[in-house]
Amino acid sequence: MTKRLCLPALLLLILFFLPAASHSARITIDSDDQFRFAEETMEKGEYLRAVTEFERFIHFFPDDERVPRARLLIGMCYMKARDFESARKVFHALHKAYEQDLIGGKALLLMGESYYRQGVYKEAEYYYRQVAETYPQTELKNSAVYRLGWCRMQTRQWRDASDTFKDVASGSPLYPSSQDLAQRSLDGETLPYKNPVTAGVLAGLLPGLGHVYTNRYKDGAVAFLLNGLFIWATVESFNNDNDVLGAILVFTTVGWYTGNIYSAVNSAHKHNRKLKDNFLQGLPDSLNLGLLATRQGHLGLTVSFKF
Amino acid sequence: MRSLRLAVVFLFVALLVTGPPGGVSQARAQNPDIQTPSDDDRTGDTGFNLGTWLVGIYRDNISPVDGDRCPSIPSCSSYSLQAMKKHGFFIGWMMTVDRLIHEGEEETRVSPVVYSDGQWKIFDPVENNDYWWHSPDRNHHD
Repeated sequence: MTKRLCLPALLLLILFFLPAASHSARITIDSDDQFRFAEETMEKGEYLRAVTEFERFIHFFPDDERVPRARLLIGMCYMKARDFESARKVFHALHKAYEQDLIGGKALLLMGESYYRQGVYKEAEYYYRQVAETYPQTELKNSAVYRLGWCRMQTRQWRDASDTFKDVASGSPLYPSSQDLAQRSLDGETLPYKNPVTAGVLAGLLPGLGHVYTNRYKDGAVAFLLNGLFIWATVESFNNDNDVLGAILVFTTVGWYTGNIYSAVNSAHKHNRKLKDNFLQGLPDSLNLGLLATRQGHLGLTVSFKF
Repeated sequence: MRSLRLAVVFLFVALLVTGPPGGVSQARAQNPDIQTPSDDDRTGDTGFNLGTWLVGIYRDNISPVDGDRCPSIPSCSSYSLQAMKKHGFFIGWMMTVDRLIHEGEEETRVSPVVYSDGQWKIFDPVENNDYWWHSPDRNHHD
């Protein structure tokens, strides 16, 4: 009897002292793990997930010294995901919070970069100028000046661009590239552009001629035939005393005629844009924006993005 | 007498294409927050106009029978509605004519070609054709 009771009692005792096998596993994530995981997520190109992970880092480790960097990276993630408005909100808040620090300058530079990436060069120029004026002693200034040069090339101000590239300081890592661009940007002036005014005037004189000027011969033929037919129909309507039809056709014809002029001007602009884009694609863009600001005043090199 | 008749016809057509003065457009100009149930593709800030109405008829009744032959994205009718909504009737009309003229293969030299619904199409939104004169208000300076 005693023996029979001993075995279950022993088993119960063992069970009591053993750690519960079904006990849920617990892990402790420190700030390094969380930050690294967020960075890895970003490097994989999962930008919006990376935003969540950086926000988690900021939430759980609000006193960590990397919080400003995490905020900067959140803005970068938004920018890479082409959510420029959200990126700008982050950069704006960061710049306001750390206006006197390098990270505030980086936020301002990235503000300009968000406009540059969006193709809004006038706004981008505004922020790059702000960076160059506010942070003159840092490499940020050279980056801003370098990008100003690119903005001017994007807006086909080739001589201004050349002069701007010459302003990059000789000690900067961007100096060799900027000197090269100062020379090569001048080639932009010699591209075979089409004058939009000429295209419009030619289209006004003879529908379709503006398109021919911009090397769009089929479009020119379509414009000529459509306009010719509508003008002929309008004249015939009035000649045959069909005034109501004639009046309606006048409106339609005016639409085709003005549309033909608009189309010719538009074609010239598109032609010029394509020329410029092709030309710029052949130029090296050496600006690598380091994401991590360091105390030395240089751009960090741990993670970089080429724009 | 004939001149008078012509003038009346011109006025009538002009009223049709530009829409009635005032109305929702005028009220909206005074208070941009005003929303109406008719805020869709067919009516923009200019209120009702003949152009969007006609394009709507084409898109809803003719295009489904005629088939999808537009080589561009957005389709020509959608483009027209968007242009009229964005810029009003007259400029929208001009841009529609421009689109109809330039939708051929020559456009592929200056606009990207994208794969959509099993076909390669020319990506040619309104922004691709008004960028040189229309810049949205993006002034966010503090």
